[in-house]
Amino acid sequence: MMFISSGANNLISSMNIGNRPDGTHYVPLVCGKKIKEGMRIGDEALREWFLRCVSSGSYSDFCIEDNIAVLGIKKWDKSGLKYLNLQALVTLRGTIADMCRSGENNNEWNDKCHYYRLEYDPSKPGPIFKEPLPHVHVYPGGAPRFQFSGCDPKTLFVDFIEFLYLNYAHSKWVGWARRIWKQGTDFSPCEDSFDAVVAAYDGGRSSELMGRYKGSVIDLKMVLKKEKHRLSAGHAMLSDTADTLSYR
Amino acid sequence: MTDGDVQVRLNQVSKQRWSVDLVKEVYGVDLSEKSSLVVQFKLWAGRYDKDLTVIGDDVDRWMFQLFLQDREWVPSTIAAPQLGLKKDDFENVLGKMKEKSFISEVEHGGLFPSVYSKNFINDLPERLPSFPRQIWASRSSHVRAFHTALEKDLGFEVSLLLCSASIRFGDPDPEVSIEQDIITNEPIGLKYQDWMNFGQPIALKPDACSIFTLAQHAEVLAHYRMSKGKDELLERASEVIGQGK
Repeated sequence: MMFISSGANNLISSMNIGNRPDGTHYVPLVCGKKIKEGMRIGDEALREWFLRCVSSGSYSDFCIEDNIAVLGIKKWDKSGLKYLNLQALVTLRGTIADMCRSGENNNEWNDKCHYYRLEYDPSKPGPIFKEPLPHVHVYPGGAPRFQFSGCDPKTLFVDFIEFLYLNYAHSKWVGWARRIWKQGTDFSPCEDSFDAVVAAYDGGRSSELMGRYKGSVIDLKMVLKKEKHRLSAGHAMLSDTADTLSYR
Repeated sequence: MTDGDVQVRLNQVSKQRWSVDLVKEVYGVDLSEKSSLVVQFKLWAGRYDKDLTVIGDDVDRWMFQLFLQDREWVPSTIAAPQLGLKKDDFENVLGKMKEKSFISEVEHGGLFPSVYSKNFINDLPERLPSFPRQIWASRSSHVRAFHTALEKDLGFEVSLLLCSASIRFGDPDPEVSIEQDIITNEPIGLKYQDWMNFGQPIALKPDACSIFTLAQHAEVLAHYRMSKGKDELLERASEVIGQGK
């Protein structure tokens, strides 16, 4: 079963390390930027940074959606994931293509975009408990670093892509969740409560979600988690280091 | 509406089996004839319960709604308010969009008379060239942008179907409707609605009524409320009713 979209699915598939005991992987492959080359520097405008990174390819190679681009690098060895740096750019008004083709000043796009960088580097734990493993930056460097919470050590990469969809392409996420739910359960139409649960969330019906639909919500989370594990098979996992060194 | 009128309506809508006329009023489809929709409905239902008569003199409304949900189909009476449109305006919009080739003739005609695929309805705003591609902060802003694009691309203005309760409360930026009050047929948004428990299967989103309908006919409707709460809103609605607004 395909992950949320063909773009996201290709990205997830490309993260599969297969039988290789160690290596370095660029996202997307055409990016090929060394860690420092691909990083957003200081107050570099988002558009300027992105165009610099796509110079070796086409911007469409970086897009998982019209409005979401992802690029980065990961390193692994036999012990698991050694390093991960994933940067995501989301255009709030217009598409990534609009931004790239725009003649507007680079800084104009800073207000129309969101930027995230997921980082995992157990070799550099930082000052005590300051840099959770993994964490997310919203500015090019330094604080704040948000712990990427709730993530499963086996599904970090899929969780991050899912986070982008949940926030910026939610209807596509709902479509994916519905497909997984239908595939992973054998409820009859009378028992299949997916649409009712979605409506309860949309309508802010907390009491019904905690009563009538509680079991369905729990089942849904379980089905989706199982699918994310399946999608993450072949991905390098977080090592125990993350758990020990982080403040959680 | 008097409490008596509400009770009469409740007696109709709370039942599992509805008259063909009531189905037509709420879902906008005619199930009285042996149309292909009726045939498909019967075939679908037969997969789950061969002995169940889903359509006879009356219609198993829950099975019909489950059938539409399972197929991911949506009738125009449900689709229209989701796009902030009255049913007639919805049909006009589709007609104009077909004229401009923004949708195909097949899409315009629907899967069956007045029945469309859910994806088609969801994607409709994206078919308009001037509809902005952006992340929407709320459903209301999405629907409002759809109406702005309709005006720009189709050259005619359609009235935005707003939540009747939001208007009565005097909200400065009234909420856009999403469905109809099952009792009064008034357009209602998400914020000022309450869910009714008619014993429907867990798979179906419960019918809803406006917080004003609830406040005005509290005693009659109390038994049918899915859960308690929204007391503050109910008090506010009662105050507004008391002021004769």
